[in-house]
Amino acid sequence: MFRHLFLLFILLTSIAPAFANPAIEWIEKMSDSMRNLSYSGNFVYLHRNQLESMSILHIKDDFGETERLLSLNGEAREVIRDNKNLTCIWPDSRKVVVDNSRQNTFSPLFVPDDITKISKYYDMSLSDGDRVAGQKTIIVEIKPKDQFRYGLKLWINSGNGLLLKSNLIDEQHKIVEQVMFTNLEVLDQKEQKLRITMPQLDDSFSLVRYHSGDASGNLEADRSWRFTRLPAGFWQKSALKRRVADTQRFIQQMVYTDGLASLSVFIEKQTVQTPQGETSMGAVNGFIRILDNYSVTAIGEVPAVTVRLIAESVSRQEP
Amino acid sequence: MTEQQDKISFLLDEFSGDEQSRAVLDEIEGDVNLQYNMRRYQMIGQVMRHELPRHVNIDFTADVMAHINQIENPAMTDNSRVDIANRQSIWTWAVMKPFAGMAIAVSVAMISITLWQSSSVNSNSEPTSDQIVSIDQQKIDRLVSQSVQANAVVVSSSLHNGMRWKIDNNAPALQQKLNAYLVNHTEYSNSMQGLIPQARVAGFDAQN
Repeated sequence: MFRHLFLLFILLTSIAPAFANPAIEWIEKMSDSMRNLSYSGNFVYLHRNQLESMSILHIKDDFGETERLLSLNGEAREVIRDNKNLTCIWPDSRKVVVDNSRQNTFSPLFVPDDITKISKYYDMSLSDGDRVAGQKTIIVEIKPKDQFRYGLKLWINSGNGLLLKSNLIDEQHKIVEQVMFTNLEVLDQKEQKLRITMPQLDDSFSLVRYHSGDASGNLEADRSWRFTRLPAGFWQKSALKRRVADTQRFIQQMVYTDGLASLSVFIEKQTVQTPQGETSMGAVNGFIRILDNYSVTAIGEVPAVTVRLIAESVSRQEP
Repeated sequence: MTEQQDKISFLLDEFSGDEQSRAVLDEIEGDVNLQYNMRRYQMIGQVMRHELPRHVNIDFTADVMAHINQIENPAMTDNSRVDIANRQSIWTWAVMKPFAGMAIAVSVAMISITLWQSSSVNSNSEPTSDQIVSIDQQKIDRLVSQSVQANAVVVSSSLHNGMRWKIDNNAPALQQKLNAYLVNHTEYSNSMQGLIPQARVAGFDAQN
């Protein structure tokens, strides 16, 4: 009898990951909490040996989500995001930029539908974490199985599911970017009303709109562009074309993802001479290539080899 | 918070039509700087209340021409004046007049924050509690609309220099282009990296 139970136990534990991955469940919980709770806190953002301190206010109310990010050191920067707009304010240079906001971008972590597919390229594990911002955490670790994607380590509040710390880890196992809260509190309805304040702007500010139209104004991407060689597991998630506000120029954007990592390829007619080759900023890598008088730029939070491979795989076929 | 900001905040948040509110309103009416500041506060308030228009009309020449016709047509009825005033008030023409000819001639794409604001007022967003109209609200609107003088800005396709990309030839235009690409990448890809993408966007200019 016990032998049968033991065998049944072994069988169930061996097939369990196919049905439910506890790491994924925690990611889902975190994503839900980050979108649906109202919270306020300060965090540090470390990138390329630079440390920045920021404040975040996230409000979920009847209007939807509103998020306000404020830099606390260096030149003042402020980003306000709601369901429609992404507003960036640079008080020192007296600029205000209003751009379109995508509703889904509030989700701090995209939870892929096809877990099996993700598991082919990443290992995911769960472990107990240290205290972060005075709160007990659980750690979700996502390790890539090849050199085409970054790894991620997440410290999640073991109670309310809010993300308290995240490390982005490159192919050499180095931390390339890090976010860590120093304090984070959940706000009730009364508190969230008190916290919403307006940025202080005076008459010397000017409004600069960068991109035209709204998301629905995007045109269908040109089908003459082909990608002959993609890194394993990457597929095209979307393709769109939009016009730059004050010009007749069009930019095409193709988004590629493996379910977790993503990169975009931007294609536009070359107007000025553009240098070709690799570029980077923190964990973001880019590769610029000129093809038939078009600049092809691949950028994303993936290793340099990945953006290069994709940019070099672009070819153009006359329609 | 300065005394000026206190007054603006009071007017926007707690205006009730009582004696104190009217006194603040009168003071703001006499102070052009306060009017400008209130204008900015309202714009950001609209951003946060989801009231900005989905699309900005950067071709304002049609509106200017409408005002030219309106002002130069003495036969216009009172009702039609009110109607046009609702679409875009007279101040726009009064202020834009010196610039309008040049703007039309060279077809420079210009907008003003106030044009943005006025089209926002006409948007179909649901009214919020602070949009409830009182008699003095009209006065507030008039005040706000007077502040266009300092607001005309040229629409530019360039972002302010921001995060620094590693480029051999550190061309500002390329930096701006890559920054803009990054913003769009962040917006259109569901990144897996927690708050880092948002922090990157807020981190523009940090490396200057």
